[in-house]
Amino acid sequence: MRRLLARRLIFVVFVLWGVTLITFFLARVAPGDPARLIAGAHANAAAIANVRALYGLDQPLVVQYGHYMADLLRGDLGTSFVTRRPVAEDIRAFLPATAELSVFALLVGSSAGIALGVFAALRRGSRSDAAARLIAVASLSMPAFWLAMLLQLVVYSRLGWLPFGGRLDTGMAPPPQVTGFMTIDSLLAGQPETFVASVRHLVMPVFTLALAEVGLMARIVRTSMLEVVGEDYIRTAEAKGLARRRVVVRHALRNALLPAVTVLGLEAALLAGGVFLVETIFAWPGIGRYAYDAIRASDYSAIMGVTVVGAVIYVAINLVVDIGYLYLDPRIRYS
Amino acid sequence: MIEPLARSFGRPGAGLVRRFAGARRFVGVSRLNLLAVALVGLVVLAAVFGEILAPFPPNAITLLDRLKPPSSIHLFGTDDYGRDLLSRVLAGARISLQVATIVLSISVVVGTTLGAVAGLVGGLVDEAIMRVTDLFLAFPALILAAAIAATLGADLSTTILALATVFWPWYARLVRGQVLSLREREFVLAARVAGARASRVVRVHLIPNVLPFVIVQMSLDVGYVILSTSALSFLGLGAQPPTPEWGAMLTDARGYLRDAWWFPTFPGLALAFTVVAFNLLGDGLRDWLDPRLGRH
Repeated sequence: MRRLLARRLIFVVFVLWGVTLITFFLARVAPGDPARLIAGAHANAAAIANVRALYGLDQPLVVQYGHYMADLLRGDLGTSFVTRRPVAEDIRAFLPATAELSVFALLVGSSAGIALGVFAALRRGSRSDAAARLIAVASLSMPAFWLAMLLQLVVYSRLGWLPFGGRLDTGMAPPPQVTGFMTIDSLLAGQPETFVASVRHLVMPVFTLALAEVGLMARIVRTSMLEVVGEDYIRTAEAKGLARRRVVVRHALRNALLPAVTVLGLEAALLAGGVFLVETIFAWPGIGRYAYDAIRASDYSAIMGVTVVGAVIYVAINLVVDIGYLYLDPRIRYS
Repeated sequence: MIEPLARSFGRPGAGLVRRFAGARRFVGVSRLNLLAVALVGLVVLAAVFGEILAPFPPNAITLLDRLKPPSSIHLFGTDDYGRDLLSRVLAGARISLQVATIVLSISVVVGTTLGAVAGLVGGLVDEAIMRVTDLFLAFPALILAAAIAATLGADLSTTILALATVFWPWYARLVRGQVLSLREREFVLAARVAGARASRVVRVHLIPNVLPFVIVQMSLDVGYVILSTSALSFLGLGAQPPTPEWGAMLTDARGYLRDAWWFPTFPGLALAFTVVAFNLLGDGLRDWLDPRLGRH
């Protein structure tokens, strides 16, 4: 067990180092000259040379990478030349919005997916099963950006039911920041109006983002439920005369959810891609939108910063999932 | 993006190849499978014969016909340059399928080769290849693809390169897993004990048994590649105007949501329809070949 953990940790360090290597060289092979971009469109040759010397861009790549790593280890991700602020600060400012969106999407999507998967497995081979499969596939196939446009067209423009863009209504002051979640912070500050506004702003982006999670979760849960319901202990539980509900929830689902834990890592990857699109379309002030703006402006410090932070979060989630799995599965725990 | 087959397949079924030979039975298993085959067939037909079927050239601009609603002349209406949307949607089918074919060909060749070498050679070579594979899998796929596309310049060819970079590691991992488990199976051991050369073992025993898994994974990935291509174009990182790519068309349509409902609707429907078709096919194939579900 301890050896397994140690191996995982060494691997994590290796992966993170590799991520910095890839992002660094990706940014350096880019066709645009970063010095020219930083100096501005009208800078003369001398000004560009100045910038190049100032940022160490005239030194060999290996030396530049050394400086970059040294800065990175101190938590310095460089300065964005669009916002003119340290990238680390930018990311700290934009991260809570993304976290709130992702957490709600994961909760909504996973619960709906588990319900759909259980439903399909219990009615295996029936029309309901086929319908559930169709829903799962369709939810995975739905282009998020198209769905967002349709929602904007119907729910916002035509029906006027929900607001579009941002986390709060225009002109509304955000509550004092405690958790960074608008919904929780507004409740803590005792501002029910702000709370309602933040929930209304969350509905469409969360729905769009959660949809793909539904399909992924439903497929896994259906498969593992089908495996579990054939086991002896389920027959025993049924033979004991336990209520069907109890057998399904306490005996079958509890065991069937174990494989679902391993997909959480994949869910996170799906979520990261989704966040990128959904935030861009819904003008949600999070990391995804920040990354999009950075990419459009060739703001390499910001691109590299977001990629590295994103990879760290992603690897951390996968590590937690792995360790969680080790603890949940007694066969591995005691080996 | 999707769970690797190596994980969802507990043990490779012995008669996988024979099962593939009876592809006709696949359609008989479930009506959804029949639907999937029909839908995919329709998309392929649109891609192949779209040029002949299209009433207008996809890029023909007629400014007098700007933003015309669907009519008998323009079945899907026209866009902001008066171009016929039906013709553009048909041309988009060809682009999407071409991109998906190229991306998956590159991914399969690179991934399968590396995965097979890792599984067959083992030791340090295996370790090195798999750690590099894990490294690429450590990035969230769409973000890595977007970063590559943004770095190399927005264009369909960089989209292809970016997506191939994201998709090959799944094939490497899948093939390595299969090769490792096959290597220890009785029929492979028997062949080796009987003195068969390595090249023969690979040709006769390994390739035919790994291939079905690769094909299923490909059918599952086609939809994702098409979806990602459109997503990159939508973000302005892929196909550029006037290319009739579905995602790029949707970007154009964003400015006309209120005035021309047909403009975002038809390219989006075509995209959703195509992705559903391929995902349904891939899903059906996987269920059909998964021995644990024991449906047949």
